[in-house]
Amino acid sequence: MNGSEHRRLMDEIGIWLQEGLISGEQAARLRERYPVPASKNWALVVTSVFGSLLVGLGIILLLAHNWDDLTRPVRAGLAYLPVLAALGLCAWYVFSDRSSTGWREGLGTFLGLAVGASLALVAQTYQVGGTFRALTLAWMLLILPSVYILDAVMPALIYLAGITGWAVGQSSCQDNPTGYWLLLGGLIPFLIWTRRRDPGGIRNGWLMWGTALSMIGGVATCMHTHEPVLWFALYAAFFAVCLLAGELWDRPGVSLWGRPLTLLGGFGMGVMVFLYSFLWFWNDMNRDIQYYGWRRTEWQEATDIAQVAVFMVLYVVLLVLAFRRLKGWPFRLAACFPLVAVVLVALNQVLEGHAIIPAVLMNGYAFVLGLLVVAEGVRETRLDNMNAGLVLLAALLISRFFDADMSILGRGLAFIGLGICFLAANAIMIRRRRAL
Amino acid sequence: MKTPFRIILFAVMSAAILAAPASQILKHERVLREGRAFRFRTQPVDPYDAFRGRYVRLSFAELTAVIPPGMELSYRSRGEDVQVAIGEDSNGFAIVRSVSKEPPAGTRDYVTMETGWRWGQETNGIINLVPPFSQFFMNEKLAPLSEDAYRRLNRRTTTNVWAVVRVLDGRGVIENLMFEGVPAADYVRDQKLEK
Repeated sequence: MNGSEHRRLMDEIGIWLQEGLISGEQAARLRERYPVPASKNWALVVTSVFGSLLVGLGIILLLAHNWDDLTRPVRAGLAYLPVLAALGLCAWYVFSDRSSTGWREGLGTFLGLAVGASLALVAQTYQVGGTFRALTLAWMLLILPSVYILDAVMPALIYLAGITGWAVGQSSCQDNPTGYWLLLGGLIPFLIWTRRRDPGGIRNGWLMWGTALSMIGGVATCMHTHEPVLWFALYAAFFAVCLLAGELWDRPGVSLWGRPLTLLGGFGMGVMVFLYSFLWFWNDMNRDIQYYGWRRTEWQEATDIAQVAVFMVLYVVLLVLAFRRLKGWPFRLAACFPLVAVVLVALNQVLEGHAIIPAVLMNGYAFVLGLLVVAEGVRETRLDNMNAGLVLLAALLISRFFDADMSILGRGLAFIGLGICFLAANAIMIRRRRAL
Repeated sequence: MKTPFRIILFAVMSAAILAAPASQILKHERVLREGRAFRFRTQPVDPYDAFRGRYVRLSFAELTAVIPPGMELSYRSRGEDVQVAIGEDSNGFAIVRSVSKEPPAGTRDYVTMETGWRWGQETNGIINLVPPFSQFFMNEKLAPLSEDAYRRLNRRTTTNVWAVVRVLDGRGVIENLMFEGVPAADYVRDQKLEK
């Protein structure tokens, strides 16, 4: 139970006591039963992290000024000052057997930035050639162990930002960015470790958000083609993997902030379902593959296919593991999105020139999904679910109303038919309620 | 918690963090002390790309070579490492003596460069060479002044600006950027004083 949940329960106990539902003695026993949860001093953590961040960034700027009046050896020596200070503090922390979140996070931030400052100053002093991404890669590899040594989330977030930047740099220069996944693998044990100890905690939330957002960057940069079948398959599998991993990984009952994988997977899937409800997406899919893929080299083709295959396999494994745990039809239907995508893509290839059929089926899938999400939200009085379903339905209806690619007559009849279904459902519900 | 694993990991990380800059310092110091100095002619660069942050982006003239017979270079992929032997022309400026996959015999004056764009035939075609030195970091106040001078002088004639690069055993380290025979920093300082 976190602090806000505890406060709410204490308020409720007070109300029950006032209303005479429980006696004073019972109230005291309940208060004893739920003591104030031991909370970390977050003010200490925040000031420590921000203090270290500002000092570290200040040192980087100070060194970047380029003190050309100083001799080369002096500047080389200066490059060591911040890193020696950071390592000295880390050594003191490790050997003093302390365990303070504020110290850990602050030191992790300072060490992470000090290493970058040191490498940058040496590069500046000796006119070291090479790209910024090469420097970033060395920097990130050097700070990765500090995540485990200090058990700190901040250097992990710096690491995630760094490897994502490296992958973007590689991709934009037509170099191979697939090493990103290997670099991300270096952080997996820490993710599992943090999740096990503090599943609903703030640190786990930040770490999972950082990882999820970094992975979007990784997927986008490691994909070299705009070829629509592969693109569709990859993103459908990726968002479904996020959703299923969230179901297996995220702690149930915590706020959406504490469930980044579920939120990201659900949001990404909603956007995809909406995009592929447009007819032109399906028409584009039947174009010659060469039209999209002519610029790719052999290794780019191979990594594109490998990436799609890995995410598809991961999706199937997670679907098998999570399917029994998926409560309710909306979630099950959403989890099946990549399968629906594969079937519709195959149908689109077979029915070449009749892209309207998979487009209509995708609209049907999106409509049913939105409806089920709204229905579940209403049944369980969960406003977030209901609103998400309503947003999907509204986006779908508005875009179909203005959609110039589909027949006006067909759309008119479909709108009237669906409207009559809604009104009939409404009438049935009113009749049942009266009968009760 | 003070566990042996944590302490060993800390020791390894500290050693790596301290060794990374040290290895760069030692490698570059060795080239700067023992390497032979060559004057590389620079050429005008795109004004919009002349400066990034606080360094002068250098572009070198005449860094091309004829692909020697027997050297296999992939047509599609750039960025292959080649060993470029450096010599001097009659005016004392650096020129490419030879290009090979292996370090040239009998000389330590060569730089490992990457292959750039190529044109012409598989053999006897021309290959563009990309040196590992292309940025000259400067003080933030002098950098904008150097940018102006760099562009002005390069526009006039390409021999007015050159980079002094120390070369040794495959490495090339920029020692200084010279404007009309004067170190760039001194040149722009003097110009600033004259104004």
